[in-house]
Amino acid sequence: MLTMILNGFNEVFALQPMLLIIGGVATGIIFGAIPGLTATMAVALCLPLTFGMTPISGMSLLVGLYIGGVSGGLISAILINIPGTPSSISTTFDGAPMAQKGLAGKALGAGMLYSFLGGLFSIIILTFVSPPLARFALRFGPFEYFAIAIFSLTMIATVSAGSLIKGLLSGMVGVLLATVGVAPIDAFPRFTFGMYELSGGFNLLPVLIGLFAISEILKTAEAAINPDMKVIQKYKVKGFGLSMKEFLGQTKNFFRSSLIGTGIGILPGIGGGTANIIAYISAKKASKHPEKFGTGVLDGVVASESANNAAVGGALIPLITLGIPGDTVTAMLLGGLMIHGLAPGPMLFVTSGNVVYGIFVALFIANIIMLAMEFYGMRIFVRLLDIPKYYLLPVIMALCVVGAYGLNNRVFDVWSLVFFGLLGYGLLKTGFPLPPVILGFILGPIAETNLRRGLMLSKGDFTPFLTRPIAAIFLGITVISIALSIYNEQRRARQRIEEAAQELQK
Amino acid sequence: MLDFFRKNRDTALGLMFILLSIGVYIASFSIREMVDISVGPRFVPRLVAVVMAVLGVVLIIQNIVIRRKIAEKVGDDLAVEAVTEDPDTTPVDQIDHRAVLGTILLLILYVSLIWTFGFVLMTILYLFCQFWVLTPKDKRRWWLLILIAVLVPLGINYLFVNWFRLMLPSGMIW
Repeated sequence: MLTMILNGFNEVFALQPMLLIIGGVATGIIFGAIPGLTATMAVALCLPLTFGMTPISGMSLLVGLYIGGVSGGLISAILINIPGTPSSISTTFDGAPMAQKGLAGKALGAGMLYSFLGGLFSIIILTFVSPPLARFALRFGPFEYFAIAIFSLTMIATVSAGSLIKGLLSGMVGVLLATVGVAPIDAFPRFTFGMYELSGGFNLLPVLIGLFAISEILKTAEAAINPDMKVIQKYKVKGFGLSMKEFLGQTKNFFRSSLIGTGIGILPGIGGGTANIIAYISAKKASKHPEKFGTGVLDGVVASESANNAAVGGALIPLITLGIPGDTVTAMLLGGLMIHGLAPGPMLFVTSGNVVYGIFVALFIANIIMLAMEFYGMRIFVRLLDIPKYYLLPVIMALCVVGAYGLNNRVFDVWSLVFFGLLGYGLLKTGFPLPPVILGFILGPIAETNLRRGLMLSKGDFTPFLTRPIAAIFLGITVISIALSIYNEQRRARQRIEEAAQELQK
Repeated sequence: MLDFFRKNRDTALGLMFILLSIGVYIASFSIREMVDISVGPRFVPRLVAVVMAVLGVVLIIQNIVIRRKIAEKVGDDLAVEAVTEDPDTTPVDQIDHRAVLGTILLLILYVSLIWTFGFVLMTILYLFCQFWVLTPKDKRRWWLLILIAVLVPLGINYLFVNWFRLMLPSGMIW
């Protein structure tokens, strides 16, 4: 394994991958820092660029964007009290009050330091956990893959924000969209309506860019005219702003938050966006002075920022060992690997071990570059927060068109982009979460293919899906998680009734 | 009209999903299939149709039942507010509908005409119009808008064609 890691260093320590990581991290931080632009959008827009690169270079760029994008959100969270990405929502809880108390430099310093440490923690876990896990997963057959795909699909639908029914419906929309084109196994055309372009199905890239970039731009356009943000420009950074004593005092908090982040990252469907909030709540519960949380304590920033970057490494574990993406960004990394004809999954270690370890090393380097860039370049990133949205959004829109066209040079893909952009915006406005659509789009075909392969193996018998232990466990958890969310949903409904009653009494 | 839809939004959405399911189920008959197979190419589309229809029904029931329960306690007007969970976006009364509709319209025009004018020319046109729609009136400096609208597409063209070796949409004019 050591030789593989060294080999990875060898591959990544070349001019092109290094430049791409640096460029990726810088772009990622900018997208992360500016509210309305997200890490997901950055990765989606840059995905077509990797087409002409070697797999290592391409993944270096994407990984840099991912790490930078997740961390960059802390800048706006602290300085303008708006989370730059969903991953830094709870950074605003204590980061913004710290900045108002004149401790912006300290909050930024701690934020970037713990982003780095949280990321490092999860990258180490990723590097050491993935190889044995992949060896284990080599024994998985269609029954297991079917169960895991179904499990992931329901997880994302049940944990996503808003109503359970709408989450499940979103997932179904994704599965339905993926059925357009030729069916797996026997390749009969489905829902092509005689259109030649539809026979290949919708391309993943226009779907992603449309759903996540175009819809987001339209959403931001709603309020583009009145964007009065106050950026706190005056602050001093001295080192990381932490004393040794403060640093040591956060040790427990750091490890707890990073573990939560990595663990939640591994679970399909939820990532940094959930991890930071759960880590914040846990830190508050474990604290000796929970009442101070929210008034600008260091612990809150440390918990949130360790957890969201720790989720990055966690989210990559199911992608690399099973080929199952856990969230929207890893769904795009999956696309990035497939562009180069690499199918993520346990076999990837066997067939392209150099790429896998190259990704690990690229993550490691991107993490260091992220720290250095935020440390030395913070003032530049803060300046960028002043760029008005009304200049930025149209440019991003043009880049979306370039991105959708760039891969296959098809007119059809650009129209798909418009279609999925409007669909995404419509779903957003009516309270449907978007991540389940994407996961349904990717996991639906995986589930279908493995279901049919399994049935071919068992000659039409369904029982192996329930008698093979691993398949049975995953399907069991699926049933339990759905039952739990139905229970939660009912409790929530009752809560809403009571809240409404209380409101009336006021 | 808008208010009526807002009140019954989830019911309308539920109905839409049920209609979509029926459409999908009917369309699935046109999928060719080998005769002696239980789970063939028709299976997943039909499963999705059935699940979607069931979820649509649940959505409608949920909307009606919960609203009635809330209405019993607090009256009809508040019940609508409580049931219509607006997603975490700009509050309805602050939405700039002109900007959103203008953006959608410009996007469609941009994509339709890009094959005639080519990427660079059409993007210059698009960017200028889009800037104009989104920029507040008091901040519209036309020379600055033109400058950015011209420089950005040229920059993208140079970078993507020469560095990343990607093709850009080409039109009849450029």
